[in-house]
Amino acid sequence: MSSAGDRVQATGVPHQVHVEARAEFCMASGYCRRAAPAVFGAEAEGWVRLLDDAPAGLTEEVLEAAEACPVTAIRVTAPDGTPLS
Amino acid sequence: MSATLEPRSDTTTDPLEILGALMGGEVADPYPLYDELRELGDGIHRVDLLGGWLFTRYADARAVQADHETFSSDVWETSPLSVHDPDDAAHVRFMALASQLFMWADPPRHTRIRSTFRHAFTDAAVRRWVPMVERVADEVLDAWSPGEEVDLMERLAPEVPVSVIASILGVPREDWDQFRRWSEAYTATFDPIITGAERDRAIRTSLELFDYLAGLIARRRAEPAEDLITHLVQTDTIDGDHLTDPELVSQVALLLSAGNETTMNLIGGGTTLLLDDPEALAALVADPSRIPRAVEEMLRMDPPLHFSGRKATRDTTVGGQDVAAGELVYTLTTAANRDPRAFEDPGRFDIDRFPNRHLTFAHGIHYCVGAPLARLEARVVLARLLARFPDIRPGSTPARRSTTRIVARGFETRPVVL
Repeated sequence: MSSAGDRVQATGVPHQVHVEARAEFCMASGYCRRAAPAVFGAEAEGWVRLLDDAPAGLTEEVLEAAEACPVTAIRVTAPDGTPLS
Repeated sequence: MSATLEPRSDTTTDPLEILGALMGGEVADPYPLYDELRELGDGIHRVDLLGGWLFTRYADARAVQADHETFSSDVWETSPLSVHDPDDAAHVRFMALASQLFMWADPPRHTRIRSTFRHAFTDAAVRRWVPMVERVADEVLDAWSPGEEVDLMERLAPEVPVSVIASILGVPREDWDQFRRWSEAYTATFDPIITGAERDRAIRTSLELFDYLAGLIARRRAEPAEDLITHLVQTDTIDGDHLTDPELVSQVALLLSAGNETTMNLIGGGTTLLLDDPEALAALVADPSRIPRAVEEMLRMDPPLHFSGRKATRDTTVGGQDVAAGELVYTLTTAANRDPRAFEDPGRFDIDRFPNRHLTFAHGIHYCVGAPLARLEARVVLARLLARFPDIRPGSTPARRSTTRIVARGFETRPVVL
C-alpha cells in the first residue's frame, strides 16, 4: 500500500481509496461519470467502465458517485478494507 | 407543516391503530398518517399483521434496499400473487409463469434475467420512443377542447401507458383494445382485495394474455421485427444464454403490470399536485424545460407504489432494531420520501428540487428497470397537456384517491376543466 493511501484528508476521508464497479448491476444512468469523470467512464452503450480502481485525491467525488448510483453498483473501501459506501 | 412532524406527546397513538386506519378503506389522504408513523418513536414498527417490521425513515428504508444480500426479494410465496387453487390446472399454469418475475428473484437469477432488459430501457435507448409517446398522448388530447370538463383518469392516464408499451413490444394496432383488457386483468391478480370468483376470472383472463404473448414471441423468433420482443428474443443474457419462452412471457407480462398502473398513478398524482399549486402550474406552462425536475418531485411526493417488501436472510440490525433471519421487512416509500432528515421542507411541492434522491423507483439492484420510460411518459404527457390546455384547472368535483388499495393507492378520478 502506498503511503498516500494512508494519508487522511482534512475532511476525515482517506486520500486514496479502492473502487469496485459491479458492471452486472449497471443501468447506464451516468451519475457516476458526472460525479467523478476521472474515475468512471462508459462503454459505447453507456455501461460503466472503471478508469481508475485506486484514485488518489478524489475521495469526495468517488463517494458522491457511489451515493448517486441508483443500483448501488459502486463499492468504495478504505486502504484497510473498511467499507466507505 | 411542523404540526405533523412534532412527536405527539398529547396522545398515546398506537402505530397499529394508524395502520388499521390505513387499511380500513376510509382514509381519503393517507399522507398525514404516513408522517405520523415515521415520527412515532424511532419510526420502526413491529407489524404482526404483515408478519414483520415496517421501516418508515429514509436512511433505514434505503439501507434495507441497498443490501440485497441481507434482504432477499424472494418473497413470492408471501405475496398476494401466490394465492391460488392448487387443484385447478389453469391456476397452476398461471402460477408457473407468473412466479418467474425477476422482481421476486435474487442474484444470480435476477441478474441474468435483468441483463436482457436493461439494454432496452437506458436513457439513451428510450429517447427513440419520444415521437411515438407524443403521438399516443396527442391521440387522446385531440378529442378534447379548451373549456371542456374531463376526467384524466378515464382516458389519458390509463390509455397512454398501455398504448406505449403495446407499441414498444410490437403488438399489432388492431389488438390494442384486447391487450388493454388483458393488462387490466393481469394487474388485478396483484391486488389483495380481489379474491374468490373475481380473482379466478382475472387469472383465466391473464392466461389469455400469456398465450397471446407466447404466440407473439414465437412469431418474432421466426420473423424478427424492429420491436422490443425481437430485441429480447435476440439478446444474450449476461451468462451468454437466452431467456426461455416461459421466462420471456413472464417478464413481458411484468412490463405491463408494473408499467401501466404505476404510470397511470404518476399521471393522476402528478397532475393533482400541480393543480393544487397554481403557481407551480403557471411556472411549467411558461417554461416547459422545468418539467423534468417537476416530474421527479411528483415521484417523490406521491409515489405510485407505497410499500415495498423484503425478507431477512440472516440476523441483522437496521436503525438500531434487531431483525431476525426469516422476518419480513417492509419499507414505506411514502414516509421515507417526506423524511425531514433527508429532504429540506419535505412537505413542500418544490418543482425545482435538486438533488432529489427519492426512493420511488427503489434503491439498489431492484431499482425500476423501466424508470427511464416512466419518466419519459410523464414528461411528454405533461408537456403536451400543458401546451394544449394552458388554462387547465381543477374540475367541478374533487379528485378521489383509492381508499381500498394499499400498495397502488392512486387517484380513481381527476376531474379537470381544460
